[in-house]
Amino acid sequence: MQEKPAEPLLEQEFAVQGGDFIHAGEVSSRIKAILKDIGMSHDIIRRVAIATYEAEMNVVCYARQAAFHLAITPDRLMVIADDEGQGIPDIELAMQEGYSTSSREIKEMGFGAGLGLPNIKKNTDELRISSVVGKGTRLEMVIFTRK
Amino acid sequence: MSKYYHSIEVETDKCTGCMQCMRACPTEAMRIREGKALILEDRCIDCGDCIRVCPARAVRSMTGSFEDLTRFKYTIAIPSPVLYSQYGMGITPNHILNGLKGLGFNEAYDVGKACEIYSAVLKEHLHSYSQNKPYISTVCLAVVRLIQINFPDLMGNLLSMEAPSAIAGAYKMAKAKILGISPQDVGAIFITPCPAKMIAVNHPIFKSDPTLDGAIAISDIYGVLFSAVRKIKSLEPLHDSGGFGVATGIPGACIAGLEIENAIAVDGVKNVINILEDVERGKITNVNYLELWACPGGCVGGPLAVDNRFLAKIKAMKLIQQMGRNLNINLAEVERMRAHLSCDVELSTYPMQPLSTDAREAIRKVKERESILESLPRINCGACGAPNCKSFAEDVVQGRGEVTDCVFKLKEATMESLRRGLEIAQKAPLSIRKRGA
Repeated sequence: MQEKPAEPLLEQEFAVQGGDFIHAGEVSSRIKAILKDIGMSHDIIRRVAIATYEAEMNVVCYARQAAFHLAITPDRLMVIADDEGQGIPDIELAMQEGYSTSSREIKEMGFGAGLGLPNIKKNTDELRISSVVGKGTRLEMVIFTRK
Repeated sequence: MSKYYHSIEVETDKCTGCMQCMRACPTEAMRIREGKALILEDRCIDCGDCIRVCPARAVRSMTGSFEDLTRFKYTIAIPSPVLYSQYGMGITPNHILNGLKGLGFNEAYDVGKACEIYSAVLKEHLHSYSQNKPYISTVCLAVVRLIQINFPDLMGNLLSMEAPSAIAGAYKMAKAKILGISPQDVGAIFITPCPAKMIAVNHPIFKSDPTLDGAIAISDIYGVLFSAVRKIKSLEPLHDSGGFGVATGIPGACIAGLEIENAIAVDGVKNVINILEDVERGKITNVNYLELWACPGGCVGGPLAVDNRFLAKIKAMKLIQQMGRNLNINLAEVERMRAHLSCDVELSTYPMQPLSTDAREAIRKVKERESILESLPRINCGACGAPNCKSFAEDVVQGRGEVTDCVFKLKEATMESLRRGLEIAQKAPLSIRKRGA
């Protein structure tokens, strides 16, 4: 948002549908395949795959739909997940491990353990979250590819 | 990337280019070129799905023949427990072991025994290890290959343990000592339901030295062994293992005995790929042990097994019931064999190469591939010789084909050139051309 990163070398758009548990993980897999094709290190691929998967699960559990935008610049990798959904009332609280607003149904399905956002944080170098309750949430996940 | 051994090849004179193998290959390793199937070696995991579907019998397993026996002074047949379930219930494991001797092997080793020792060591291993979870079984060599190629990140999850046939290999070494001949003169020949076992013979994954000297396909021995069994006059008691041995090749059949919580068995390459992707993205958090099998139905579903795998499984389950699930082994034996089962080399990975070693060039190729894919009909007809439009687009950017190898793109290009030809044909010389035409 603030600093304008270098012109991306590669950009790609992916759609994620809320409530679609069957296909959750597909965007993460597609991004993973692209990163393998361009020769990213296994460690980076693993972190991106985990972070993107968690973000996808958040959309599937809590939002109507989302657009995932992958951008690769010479020194970083960015995935922006922009969703239309219920939004997060208290981001700080949501970042705490174990905190979850999930419904009983979602918890019974084995999700909503309150580990999603903390896990994304753990696997990214920068994470920016902005959210408007009732409208949606935007996650900007950045992983530096040059140490 | 170092080139590694493959246990499958296409006999081009038999191949009719029918594309069945290309469509069946779970890792998109097959192409059709000049009317013949071609294996992209860096993608093939030796699962043998191509052997199973080839109507022309042109995909061949590199397993050996009876001639292998002549290379040795003393030969030991090491039948996969799958062999026990290939005939009618009247033919017992003991008949099979006796039959193998009748075929010219000096000895028939009961692998069931090795499997029991293996299970005992595996159980210990699972309970005392602290590698990355879930632990992944290394019994299926095609699965190990799949991980080496497509999931290098999960190498740390593979158990550092040999397959049960390593015990048979150790037995061979001991036998050479007893006979007072060089181990090189003793041939340990595996009777196998799967071509990937040839990897253990020719390019051992786990040990610096091979534990087996050859492998013969069950399908190649099936008929002659049946005749040999029928000729048996008196049965020697050669079989003394319990049901655990037979269970080793059947997905999930051994899991209860391992006493490990949340262990699951998955069979079929596509299913295995799905579960490994879930592991990789961190979705599988509470599973301790994954028993993975490339073949649907496990080893009884091997491409070189003869009997219908569902029938074979029923027979195997009956055998397990008859022989009991108790381990028939003494602890001293387990102690002796433990070292033979531990893996003594760092497993190599053969990760899929990026589109280019230069990141910018690779990114350019990714973009080009996406735009080619966008322009293709995406009906995955296969006429171009690639299994789907996506792999065709990749073949084009990698120089393995041209866009006009796609019949639809060829049609477009032809229409365009016809349209241009027509345009030219409609022109008239200046001398007679009407103004404005």
